[in-house]
Amino acid sequence: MIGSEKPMLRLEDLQIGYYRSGRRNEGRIYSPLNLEAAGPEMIGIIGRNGIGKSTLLRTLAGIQPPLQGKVFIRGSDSRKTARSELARLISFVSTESVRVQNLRVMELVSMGRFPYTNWLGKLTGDDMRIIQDAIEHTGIQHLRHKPVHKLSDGERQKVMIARALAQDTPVIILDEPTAFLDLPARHEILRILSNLTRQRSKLIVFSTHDLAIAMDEVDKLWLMTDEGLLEGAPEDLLINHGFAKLFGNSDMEFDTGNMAFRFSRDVSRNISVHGDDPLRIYTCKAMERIGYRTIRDQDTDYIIHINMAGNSPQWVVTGKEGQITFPSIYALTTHFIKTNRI
Amino acid sequence: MAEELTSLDEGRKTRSYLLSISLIALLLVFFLVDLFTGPVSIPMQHVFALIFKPDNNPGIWHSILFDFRLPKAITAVMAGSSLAVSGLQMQTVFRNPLAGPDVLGISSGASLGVALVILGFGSYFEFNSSASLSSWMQIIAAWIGSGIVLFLVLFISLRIRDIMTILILGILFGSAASAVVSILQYFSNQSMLKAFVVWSMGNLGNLTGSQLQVLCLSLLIGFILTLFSMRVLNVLLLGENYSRSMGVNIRFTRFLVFASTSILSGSITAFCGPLAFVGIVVPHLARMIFRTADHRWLIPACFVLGALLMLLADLISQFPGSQSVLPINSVTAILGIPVVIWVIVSNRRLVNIS
Repeated sequence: MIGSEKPMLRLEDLQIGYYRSGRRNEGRIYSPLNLEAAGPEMIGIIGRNGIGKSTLLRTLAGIQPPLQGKVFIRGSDSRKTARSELARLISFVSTESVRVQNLRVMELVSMGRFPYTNWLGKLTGDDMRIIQDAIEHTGIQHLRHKPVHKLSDGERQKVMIARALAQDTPVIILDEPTAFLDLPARHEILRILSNLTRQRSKLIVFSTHDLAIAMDEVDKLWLMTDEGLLEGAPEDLLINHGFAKLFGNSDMEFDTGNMAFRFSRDVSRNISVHGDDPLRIYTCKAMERIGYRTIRDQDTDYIIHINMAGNSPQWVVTGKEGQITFPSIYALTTHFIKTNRI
Repeated sequence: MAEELTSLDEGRKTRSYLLSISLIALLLVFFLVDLFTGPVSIPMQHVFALIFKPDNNPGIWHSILFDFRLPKAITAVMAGSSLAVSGLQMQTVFRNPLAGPDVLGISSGASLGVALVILGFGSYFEFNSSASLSSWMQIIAAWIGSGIVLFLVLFISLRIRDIMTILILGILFGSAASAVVSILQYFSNQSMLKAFVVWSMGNLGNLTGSQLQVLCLSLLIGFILTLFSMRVLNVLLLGENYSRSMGVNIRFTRFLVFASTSILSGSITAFCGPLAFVGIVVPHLARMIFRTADHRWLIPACFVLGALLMLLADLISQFPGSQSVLPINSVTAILGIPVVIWVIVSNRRLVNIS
């Protein structure tokens, strides 16, 4: 049954980029894309700065024409569909921050009904019901009468999502919806989006730099690497080492244990650490930060034992010079930094 | 909770309606006061008598009232409302709080047309031979001048995507036209120069009945075009990307807005001369008074407030009781500049006012 339906989004040899005077190839960004999103799901786009995430999203949303190839939304070619028609299929939330004086949240969300209203912009009962629903789904009831320019970044993002929701389109595109937000707000935004896919059958495509949070929520990642776009569930990409290609030849490496990127460190010395978790994990992390590879072997120049002295832990380092005891990880690491310098 | 919120909504609506009614009442009062006052004082009961029983007193007062004051008051209403509505549209389209009806160079184009008539060809005609003919020539020249600039701007707006580029090009066209005007001024004699300077100071009281009819007809076209862009202007506040994603045809919208602005401000400049500041100031007053960004409120508000401000400027310019009349352009500037200063100072955080 589902297979017989047209895919919600399909890219066919899509060449994104900017028209430059005369020469077509000059403005090309990224290699041609062939991708498909059949049903409602949440797709995160990840890639380094400047690789073309925003250009891709703008092209999908129909704000920018593709250089070549096609975008199909529910089977309609985006370039051959009237703009007013397209606005009922796909909505867009950009990174631009809207700061209009005297504009209230309610009015801003109502603008989402633009593709459906008459020349006077008169809202019908149906329109009001959809607006109300968008406001409730994003949890911004209490902000309804607040002026838009007085919202916090997180509130504004939710309002902009509510506006896209009021546009009532099967596909919603968002450019970095979690940028500038604090951790709880980022989780909240992604939770709202994920609920939209599960409860309202929306296809959500968004870009982010927030790998850790994206890995928790998305169904599929589009990984834009210099060698091409890799597609799959986050876990698939973990299995086939997709993340290693993300930042090309830079000094970043993917830590599969922490599911996060970090700078590859110059680890020349080994140190063994013994003790109970989580204290051992914390200690290892701190030692890695200052350039040690932590192992369980006893065969290293220095050995760290974590003991409990009453209620508080202490760190005992055994080495050539004998034993030294430290009351905190900070004291431990500063000692190592100091002795290494000498 | 929901009831509480709707009552808040209702409260704002009631306030807006009350404000509209009082502003319209105030407009009527100003209009009447403008009819009552002037360098020649006509006793109030005679004015009423003239208005309600026009046949009883044909004579000099009748002539002053119906051939001079009434056309002038109507022109003031038309000029103020047209410039204010154009200014509002420009501020929204360019997302710039200091944009006005003349940013596209339309008034400068009109000035160039008039300068060509007065300064360039003035020497070939005996200028004062027929006042009516020469005033029609000025008007037509101003229209052609603003029309040429309009077509340049429209042509560019269909080709260039970036709205800031269009703004800069509009300003450049305006500067080019002003430069040509300066050259014409340099080579013209004193009496021509005086005639042009007087035109550039603006005048609401020069229009004959038939000219007023032509003006009103062209303004009507401009206002009808404005009605069609009302809803789109609201969405444009969010920027062009959002507007496109909501199905707005940006090029068509720009075309519509530029056409209506040019017809409105171009016609007013042609008939009354360049009137500064009303177009920049009134949209800010409208936003301040009505506390809304909705153009379905702001456009009528600009219409009424623009008319009010222009009537006020006209009243001040004729200095009740005095025999002399100040140039209207200076009065609008003196009234408008404090508001512009306020806009700049209160906008230093660069919050988008439009």
